[in-house]
Order: sequence, then structure tokens, then C-alpha cells
Amino acid sequence: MNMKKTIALLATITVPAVYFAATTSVGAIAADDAKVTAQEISSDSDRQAYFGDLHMHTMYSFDAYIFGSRVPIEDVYRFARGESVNYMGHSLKRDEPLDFIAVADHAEQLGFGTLIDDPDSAISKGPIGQRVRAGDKSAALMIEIVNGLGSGGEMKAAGVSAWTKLKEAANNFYEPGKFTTFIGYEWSSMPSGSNLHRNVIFRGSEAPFPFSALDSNRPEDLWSYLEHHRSNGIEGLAIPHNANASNGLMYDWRDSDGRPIDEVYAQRRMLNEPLNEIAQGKGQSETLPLLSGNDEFSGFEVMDQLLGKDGRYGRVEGSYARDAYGRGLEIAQRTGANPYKFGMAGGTDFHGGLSTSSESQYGGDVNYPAEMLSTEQIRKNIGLDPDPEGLWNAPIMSAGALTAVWAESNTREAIYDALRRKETFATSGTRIKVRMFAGWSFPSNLVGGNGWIRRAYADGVPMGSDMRARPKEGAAPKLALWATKDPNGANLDRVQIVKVWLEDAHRREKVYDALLSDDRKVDRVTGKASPVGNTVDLKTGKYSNSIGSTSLQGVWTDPDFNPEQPALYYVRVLEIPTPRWSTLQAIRRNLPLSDKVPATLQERAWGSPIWYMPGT
Amino acid sequence: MGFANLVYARYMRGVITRRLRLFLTEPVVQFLILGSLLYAVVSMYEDRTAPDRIVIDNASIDRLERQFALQFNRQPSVIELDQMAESHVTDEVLYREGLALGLAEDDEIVRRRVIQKMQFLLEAETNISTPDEKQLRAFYDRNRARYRMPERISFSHVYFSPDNVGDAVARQRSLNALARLRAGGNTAGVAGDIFPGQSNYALVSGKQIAREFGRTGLAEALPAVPLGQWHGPLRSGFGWHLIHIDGREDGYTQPFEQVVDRVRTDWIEDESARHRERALRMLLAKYDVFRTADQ
Repeated sequence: MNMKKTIALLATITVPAVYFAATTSVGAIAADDAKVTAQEISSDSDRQAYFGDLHMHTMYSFDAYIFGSRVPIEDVYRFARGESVNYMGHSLKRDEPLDFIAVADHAEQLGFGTLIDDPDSAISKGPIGQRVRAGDKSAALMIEIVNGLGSGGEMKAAGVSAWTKLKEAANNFYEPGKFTTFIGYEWSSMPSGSNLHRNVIFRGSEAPFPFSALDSNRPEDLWSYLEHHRSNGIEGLAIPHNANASNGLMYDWRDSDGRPIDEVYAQRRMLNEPLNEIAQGKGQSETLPLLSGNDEFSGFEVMDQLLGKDGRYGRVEGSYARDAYGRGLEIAQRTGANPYKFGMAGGTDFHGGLSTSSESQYGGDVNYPAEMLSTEQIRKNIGLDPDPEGLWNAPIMSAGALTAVWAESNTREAIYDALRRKETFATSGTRIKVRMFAGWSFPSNLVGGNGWIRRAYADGVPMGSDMRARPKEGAAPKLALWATKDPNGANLDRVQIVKVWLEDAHRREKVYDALLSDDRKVDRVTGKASPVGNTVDLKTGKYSNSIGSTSLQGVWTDPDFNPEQPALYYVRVLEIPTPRWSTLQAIRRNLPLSDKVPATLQERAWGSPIWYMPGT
Repeated sequence: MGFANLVYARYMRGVITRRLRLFLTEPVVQFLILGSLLYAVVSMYEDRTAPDRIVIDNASIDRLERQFALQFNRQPSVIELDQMAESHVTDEVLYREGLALGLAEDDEIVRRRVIQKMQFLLEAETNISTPDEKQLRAFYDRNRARYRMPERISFSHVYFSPDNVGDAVARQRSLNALARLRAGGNTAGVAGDIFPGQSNYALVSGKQIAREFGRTGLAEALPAVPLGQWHGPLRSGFGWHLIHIDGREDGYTQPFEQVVDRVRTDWIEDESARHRERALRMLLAKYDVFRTADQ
């Protein structure tokens, strides 16, 4: 009897509606659960480092669906927090649990896959549905879908349903004090193939329906959306990523209308975009040798090709963060406000719902972890065989990166507020911890002793801040530096300070080796320290922590300080060389090493800058 | 089936066959059987012609109205309803013709959709009532392990860094220090290095220790280190450590009152999973599965 009633019910309401009702009730239960655990959250006023991925795609992204992603949203979170999940016969576990995560699916065509699965939908019946089912995974199809499908009708309904499910899953899996989830999505603006993508992250358990690039592909309009909802009490921010594929548009001198950036633009950009994701699966956006010729470590994970454009190279100027920091100082000189005063973030941008960030779990595919890939596919991904069907140049793609924050506790509030105040660093996937404080009067032995963190906060400012007013003539900024290795990873090679400043109204940059391992010193003539060495055995993929340091700490004083010049400082920490993913995969599968990419790399962390402005 | 049952079943089959044979020789019975057969043939013919009839009755109109309201948040007008009924008819015709042509077979999407509907059905079938306290307490007692807090350890350590001196020297320094500590020296007297984390940890779990010191070595060995004396050296991701366990708090099961909300969530989750599985097992029981593949 009951069975018959249910069938009648199902016949009258659509399946998504039933699904919606079912998940809603579960959400209500979990919310109560969160209240109970809230009492047990420990808080540390010295702040702890928490590591997360703010850029995870799932099967609700149209491209992820086409790539074949089918990991249930519940398993996305279980995998992220360190549990084993079963996926197509493989038991998969993250090397190290994450502390926080944001699922950020493309707002454009959100829930596309549910329409393809639905034989009644127009999209499923149309030519695009047929191509998807026939296995077309080309970039051309993706672009057609983004630009050609529109956002109304059944697409909107699918989007609303997916968004509801995504929000509920994020709220259900939030365990205050243990594991933080943020509601988020990706705004995927790509005017003429230039990547202007931003991830939107919300602070609380409520979030409005995504504003997509189909609503507008101008960042200014995305900010209006954020500002509107902020005025209604819903706090959110946007994090641009892959400036390296923006063809010079991400850090342009001009706004979307082609007008020179003014004070209002600069203020709005910083209000809405305090961080930039400068490292992820599609390479890093800090800098590259073409822009930073004197930086011998700038050739790290360079990905200078535009996306979906058959390997076309983009414009380098305006596509990298270090250059942007200088541009920001120049614009601030002119307008009084700096549009490029952002902090550091990292992510994976992986599309299979499984966030991994170690070299050993990546095999050149954004959808499946290395162990699920065939040797045939690995050969293509590391460049031994041609891959005409590949979406991009796989050998130069990177294992995922991470965002780390210094926060009081592992809660939405504490971590979000750390993102807002830019007390963050990005890593290339490793768990280096790094702190930097700037002050005018730090004693040279400040770092490491009992209570040093409290003192550094009291007498200085942390990463992401502006320096306090300069107290007396002659004082130069002192940076308190502290870095430790990943407890499961490689030793540290060095801690560097990157200084960007204005000289005669033009931007300049310089990299200082502030702290070196193994008693090395900077050569007075060349201004460089000798390389740390390389212990990687290319036959076994093993390295040894017999070189490098477990931790490096000290106070560094700017030797070239000129109080008239606006400046900023950020810290970069390098590990000793370790095998790159392409090398590990080649060794594991008994293949020759790739000749397209370096066999080893120096993983690293980038800290958010601290700014100095004359007369403040 | 037991042996006795088997014998009984065989006996009964014999009785029924004998009686049936007698029964069938009666003319009245033969007439009735013929009549029933004729009726069956007519009904079958009618059933076969039924696919040609499409009925729009009150129930169908109600359904169309509800569909419309769900999509557009308002009731349809008479004209809209009429159009919907009309397209429902054409859809129905196409659907039945398609089915007759076998278009639903071997179509992955249709197959997946039907599977999905069946899964929803199985889930919807699980009519789970709200558990009362007695049920929750029983569940809690059966699943105490789930509400267990792990053992927590308080410890001090002295750290010896391999930085600049190498691993062997660091280890030797720790051994020398251990001898001094065991001979009654205090930690101030043995010159350890500054550890990047803390030098004392109060009531931390194994998971937290692994997060701080690395997965292998020290974190694995710590639970077995005896209380109240200097021990080591143990290797962490950072170097060598001498360990002094200051205290241990045994793992314990959180009291029911403290976790009742979690118990309720777990109960409902478990119950749905159990229902789902049982329903699936009942369906599976209807099939004989043969695995004949070589691998």
C-alpha cells in the first residue's frame, strides 16, 4: 500500500523536488549538531596555522561533469577531512587531512550534468547533449556551453537545485573547531579567452544565488553583487586566480570600460578582493623569469599559455602578482588608493571533487588522482606520447596548492576573518609554516623565545597589514621571520624577502636571501647564496633531509631602506629540491623521465606582504 | 526446508492431483472452464487495444496543474491548461510509440533515469519515525565506540635539531642529555634547541600530535612511552626528542546527555541505511546472478 502511494507521489512531483525535500530535513538536524560541538572549540590568541583548499570543483560544474567527475558531494568532504572514500573500485585517502575547504563550482551552467542525465530536458535532447554523450571533451565544446547555453529556463532550475544541495552539504559537513567548510562558487569570466575567474567565498551558512559571468563578465558588477548582499548582512569576498592566463587583464592599468583605474575602483577592488590565488593546478602567478630576470627561483611551475587556445602565449605584463604589487604602488601614487594590495592564497582547481595537493597524489589529471590513471595516460601527461585530445599542455600543469591562515580557531568566523585581514600564506601544496611581522624596534633575538608571538603582535604587525607609523628618523623596517618545514616533508633551503618599491615613480623589485640553511652566507660580490644542493635520487624518487634546515628564524632589517619610497615586503620560503609529480609517476610506472619539464622542484610558501607608505 | 516438510509437501501434491482429475470430468466444470477461457481471450484482446486509448481525467488535470504550479509558482489559466493537456496527449502518443519500437531499451539515459527513480523510491519507502529516548539510549549503548573521546596525553619534551650539525650529532646530544636527566639533572641543565612548536603539550590527542610532529616516529611511539620518566630519543619530522609523559587521560565515552543530538542524527542515518539495504537485498533475492567472466 505504502509503495503504491509513493509511486503516485513520485508521478506527481518531479524527482528533484523529492530530493530537495529529503536533503532539507537532514540539513536541519546537522545544524543542531553544530551547536553542541561549538562549546568544545579551543581558541589560541597566538593563532595557529590552518591549511585548506578554497578551490574545489565537483560534478556540479559543467566541465567537471563532462570530464567524468561523479564523486558524490558527501565524499568530497569526507575525502578532504582525511577519510577513505571509495571511487570506482579504488579506496582513496588524502595524504594529509585538510583543515578547511570551499567547494567552488562554476556558476555558469551550474548543475548542467543533471540536465544531461534528464532525457526530458531540451539540452539533453539537443546537439550539445548528443556531443556530451558521445564523449566530446574538447575545449571548443566547453566554450560553446559557457557562451551558448544561456542561463534561463531549465538551466536556471537545475542551477537552483544544485546550489541548494551544495549549500546544504557545506553546512552539514561544517564541524566548528575541527573542520571548516565554506559555501562558495566560481565566477568564470573569460572575455576573449583571457582568464578573469574569481572564486566567491561566503562567511556564513546563508548565501545568495550565484552571480555568474553570464549576468556580467565585468568584475565591477561582481563587486556590486557582493556589496549589495554585504549591506544585507551576508558577508562574502572574491579571490581572483590564474592571472597567469589572463593575457595581462588581471592586473591591468585600466578598468573594464578602458578608463584608467581611479580611487573608487581601487577601494572597491580591495574591499571585495583582499586575496589572490597565486598558485594552483594551472601553475603559479607570482612571477616568471621574463619579468624577474634577477630572481633565480622565478622559473617555478611556469604556465604561461592561455587556456583553451591551443597553447597560445598570453601577455606577461599585468599577469603576475609581483608586477601587480608594483603597479599598485604606482596607481596609489597617482590616485591615493592601491587596487593591488592583496594577500596570498592557493588552491587546487581540481575538478574531480578530490582535493589533493602533494606531488605524489597528482598524475597530470585534474579529475582523477594519480593512482587511478592508466600508464598509457600517464605517458601522455608527462609528455612521452602526444595527447591530441588533451585539454592543455599536461606536463607543465602542477600538483595542487594550498591556502594557509593564521587564525584563533578552526571555525568559519576565525578563518574567514583571517582571509579578510590577509594573515595568510600560499604554499605549493606542502605544509611549510611561515610567519612574518614588521616593526621598527624588534630586538635581533626576538624570534623563537618564550612569548615572542605576543610581543611581535604587540610591537609590530602581521602579514597582510600596513606598517605602523615610523617612530623616529633613521629607523628601517625590521622583519621578524619564522619558518618551519612540513613535518612530513622536506627541509628548508632558505627564507627570502621580496621587496617591491617605487623609485622615481617607477616600480622596482629585489629578492633578498634573509635566512639560509647549512651556515651559508650571501656572496658579497654576486649578492647571491650558493644553491643548497640536490639529494634527489632520480632512480628511486627519494630525497634526503641531510641538507637544509628544519626551521629558520631571525630578524631581518632592510639594508636599502629609503623612507621616501613606498614599499612592500613579502616572504618566500623554499624547500630543498624534491621530485616533481612527473618524475614520481615516471619512476612508479617504470617510464623514462619527462624531458619536457624539470625532474625536481623546490616547493615553497609565499606570505602576504606588509606595506610601508611614507608619511604614515 | 526440513525433511518432514518435504515429505508433507509431496503427500499433499499427490492428494491434489487425484482430486483434480475427478473434478475435471464433470460436464458443468468443463462448461465453466470453456467460458472462462473465452472471457480471458476477450480481456486479453481488450488489454491489447487499451494502449490506443488516452484518457484525460480529473486526476490528469490535477497533475498537470501541480506541475505547472511547481515550475511557475502560480496556477495555470484555462488556456494554458488546455495547451498542456494537448501536448500531454502528443507526448503520450510519442512515448507509447517509442516504447513499442523498443527505444527505451539499450538507452543508457533511460536506464540511468529508471535506476535513479528506483533509488529514490527505496529511499522514500523508508518511513522513519522519530526515535524516542528509549530507542536512542539503546542505540547509544550499542554504539558506544562512536561517542568515545580518544586518549589524551600531556607531555614535555627536549628537542635536538639536526640543523647545521647533522642527524647523528643531534641524536648523540640527545643521548648525552638523557643520561644527565636520568641521573637527576633538570631540563634547564641540558641544552636542547628551540622547538618550532611548544615545549609542553597539555592533553593532546594522537591526531593532534601527528599533525604537529609528523605521522611517523614520535607520534607512533608516544602512546607506549611510560609515565613519569625521561624517555627517548624519539625521531619526529623535525629532529630528536626526549619525552617526559606528565599525564594521561584515558579515553572515555561521552555521556548520553552530552551527545544526544548526535545520537539522534546517527540513529536516523543508520536506520535509513538499514532500510535501504534491506529493500535492496529483497530485490536482489529475486535474481540469480551468474558470474561467468574469466576475471
